[in-house]
Amino acid sequence: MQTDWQAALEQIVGAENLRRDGDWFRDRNWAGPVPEVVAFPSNREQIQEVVLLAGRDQLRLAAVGQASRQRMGGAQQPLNIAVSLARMDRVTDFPASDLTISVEAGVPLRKLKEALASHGQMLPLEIPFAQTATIGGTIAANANGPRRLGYGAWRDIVLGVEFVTADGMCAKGGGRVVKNVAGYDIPKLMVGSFGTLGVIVEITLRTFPIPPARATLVLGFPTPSRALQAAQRILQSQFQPQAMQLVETSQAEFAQLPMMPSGACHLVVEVAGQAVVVERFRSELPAVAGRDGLDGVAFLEGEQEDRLRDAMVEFTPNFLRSLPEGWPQGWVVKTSLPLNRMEIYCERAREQLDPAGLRRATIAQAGTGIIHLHIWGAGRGKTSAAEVADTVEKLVQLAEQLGGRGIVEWCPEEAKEEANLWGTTGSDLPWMRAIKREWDPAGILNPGRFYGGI
Amino acid sequence: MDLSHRRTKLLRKPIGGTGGCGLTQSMDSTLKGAGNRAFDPSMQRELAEIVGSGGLLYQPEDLMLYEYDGSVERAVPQVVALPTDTEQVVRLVRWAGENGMPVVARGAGTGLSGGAVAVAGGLMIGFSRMKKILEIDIENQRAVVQPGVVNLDLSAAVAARGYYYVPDPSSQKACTLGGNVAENAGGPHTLAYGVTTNHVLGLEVVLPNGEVIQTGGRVWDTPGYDLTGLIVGSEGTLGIVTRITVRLTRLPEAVKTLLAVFDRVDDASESVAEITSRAITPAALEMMDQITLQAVEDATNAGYPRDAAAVLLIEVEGLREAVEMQTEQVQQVCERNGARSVRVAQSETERQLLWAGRKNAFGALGRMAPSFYVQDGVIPRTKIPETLRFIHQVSTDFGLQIANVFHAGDGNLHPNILFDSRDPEQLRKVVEAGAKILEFCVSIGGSITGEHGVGMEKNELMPYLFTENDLTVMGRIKTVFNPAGNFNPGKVFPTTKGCGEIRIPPQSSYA
Repeated sequence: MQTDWQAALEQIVGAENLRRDGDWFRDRNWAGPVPEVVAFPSNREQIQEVVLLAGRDQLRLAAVGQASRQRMGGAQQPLNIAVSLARMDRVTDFPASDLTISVEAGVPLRKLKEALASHGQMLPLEIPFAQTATIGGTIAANANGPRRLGYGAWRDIVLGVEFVTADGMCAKGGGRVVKNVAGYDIPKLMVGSFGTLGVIVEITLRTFPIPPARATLVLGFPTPSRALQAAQRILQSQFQPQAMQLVETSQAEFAQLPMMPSGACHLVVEVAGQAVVVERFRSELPAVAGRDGLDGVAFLEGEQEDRLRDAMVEFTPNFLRSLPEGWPQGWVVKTSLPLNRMEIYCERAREQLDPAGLRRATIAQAGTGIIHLHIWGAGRGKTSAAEVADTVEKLVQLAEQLGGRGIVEWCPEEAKEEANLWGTTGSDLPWMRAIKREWDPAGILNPGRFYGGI
Repeated sequence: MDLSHRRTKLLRKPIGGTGGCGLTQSMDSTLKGAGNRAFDPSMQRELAEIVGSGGLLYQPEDLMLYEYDGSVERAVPQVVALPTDTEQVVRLVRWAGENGMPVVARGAGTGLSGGAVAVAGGLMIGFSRMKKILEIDIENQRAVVQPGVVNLDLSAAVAARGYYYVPDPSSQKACTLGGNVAENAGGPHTLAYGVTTNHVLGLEVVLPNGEVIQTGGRVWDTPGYDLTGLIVGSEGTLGIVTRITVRLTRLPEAVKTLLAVFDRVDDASESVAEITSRAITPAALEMMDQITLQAVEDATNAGYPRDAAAVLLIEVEGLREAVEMQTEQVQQVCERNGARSVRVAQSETERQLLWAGRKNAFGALGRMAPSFYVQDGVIPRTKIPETLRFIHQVSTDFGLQIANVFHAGDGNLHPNILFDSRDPEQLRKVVEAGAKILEFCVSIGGSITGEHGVGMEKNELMPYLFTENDLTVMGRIKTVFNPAGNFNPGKVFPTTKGCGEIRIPPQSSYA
């Protein structure tokens, strides 16, 4: 049934840019209540009008790109409108020599990568859902790749944002230059805000030259402990890699990684720079890591390196899609730990999961302390969702006890209402809620899905 | 050398013609002491109970030392308190709230935009007694410090273990990390590794209502909004930072410092543009023009050529092989662009001397004229040639000497306008010339400040860069944390009334 607000919405974006049939959501495997419509505005003025309409008619909306990460975060709340920025996919300014780029939020990561590469530039864009994700959604979810070790995370890369506020204003924060301290750092606030503070419409980013040479060294180890000790030796040395990940995926038969040398787990080290630098990494890094504990070493370049990288980037999406029980059963716990606590965390996680009959696959950024622990049941019906939730909660608490933080990044939609996704909330949460109240008093924008239920 | 006595108060008066949200109002009349209770003996007793009588300054001769920072602004606080821990800061903040007093936090007072000047009087909280490095954790590449720790002291404390703290403002021998956090300070070596905000992971903050919160943490990712990123650079208007967790960075294997000497300014700035666009990434890329060089040589004898039109001071670092190669590339670019000579510092002593000259440049310029006014505009980094030509034109048009010393690699200019503050006609021209330069920076896509902060020096210029909507969303942040406006009033936001749509908590009276 078409309501008054839907007619008004049609006026704003045009009938051809409105879909009510639900297929768009089904195609994207949308979890939870499906929004009544998805609208595809073509410019910020249309978004302003949509938001104003929502305010007037007490509607709720969420900005999306391609909804790649819709299953991330808190339980989906009922929405009237999904506002997809998929049509806003232009590179608006690319002064390549200044190493900055301005893009509309709906630009797919793929397209951004190509635009940058055409000028010999890049961003650390090895981010899951690389084939579908848009830059706006990626930044709103603060989804970073492993090369954040060398190039920084979105908070370090986003120079400016333009967004539509819950009361329909178009506002910007930051700027288009690489150094700028004028006014409050609004871009920091928008990165990772999950669409709860505004609809991001345009983003300015700093870019990086593609290094003349790059390669990946894969070091095999008998245990995660040995691998993490080696990682610590590398970090304390002169050899600063662009990315360094511990990979322990032996239980995940459905998502095997290619190109791995022998070893129960692996340290995947990405290096870049002048060819002579890459060569020095190749010849000296295994010794720095400590040859004694090494099972095998592989040095990957070109196509081989790409194959491994692509598989690792898409590990989480593939895990969520290809579990024996089907897509919704996997859990992913993200923890951020002090570097010297990763070893004990991995050890204790194993002690928790094995007796509970749960399987795991670990991808840990050994240089930043960020661990993605993929968890699933050993077989259909063997472990209940409640039992998994219980174990997962203990893993988050463990991260907190070790001086870090943890959240449940992905889990079955039906478990979200019961499970504690956010760990122990801090003294800062009331102030985050206060910001949300001040910026979106009617709770129009993507309600309930963010930290602490914001 | 302290030059503040030789600088002068720049009058707040009409600047430029931006129209709309006018930039015209003098705020001094409405701000100074508005509504403050006179400081009386009972207040003295109450504050002494919090910080002890040794931590309290209220005699005029003591307060005079706290009336200025590194900018041209001045104002005397009513009382200065020097707490020794967070609990005392909380009690001071609560006391100020109860007594309707503005609160201004102050580190070493080296800021260049008046951030630590008590423009509305009130209580100044100095951090000279909170200067402990609380923890150094090399394994996790972290340090936890109190806000009064001097920037360089932290790097010195971890150097032997092969680490340093990257942001290195020119004032790093004196400036404090608390002040660095408030202003989001930069420095020459932030070109490759980012400014303060990129190195701060967690904060303990005393909010205007006296509540203490912890933001971020020791680890890279903490859930929720990035309040740490929001508070860094908020210039003391959202809260007072009492504990800071920072990243420590591994010292590189090799470092080389080059001095490229040019007979034409254009050649130097073209070299910068080419280094950037050819994707050579030095750790630092600084430029000084002839006026600066002569001043620096007079003051420091660092070995800079007095007759050159400009020099570039370039540092490359990393693994030995990378440093060798980049040194060669930089040399080639400079020579191709007409450098008279390119010299590589042959010893650590020579290197340190070159840097001493650069970092003391502002001090050295104080010898050239009775007063100078330093600006902090930012431009897209390939636009340096045309911008320097524009600045030269402004210098000619106004008959004012302008010395340029700046972070060329990230397009962060520091034109220093030399003048004599005793001549009101010159002063008027300085203000006008400065505004023209910043207007030009904004017109080519830049910013009014790259690292010095807005403070009370450029707050009226904010509408150059931001629309009413932009300022309104920022105002909503201030409303959340500082609704009464008594934390650092008169800073960051324009004070002008009549901008009906901008709803920002009180700027000109905090009560």
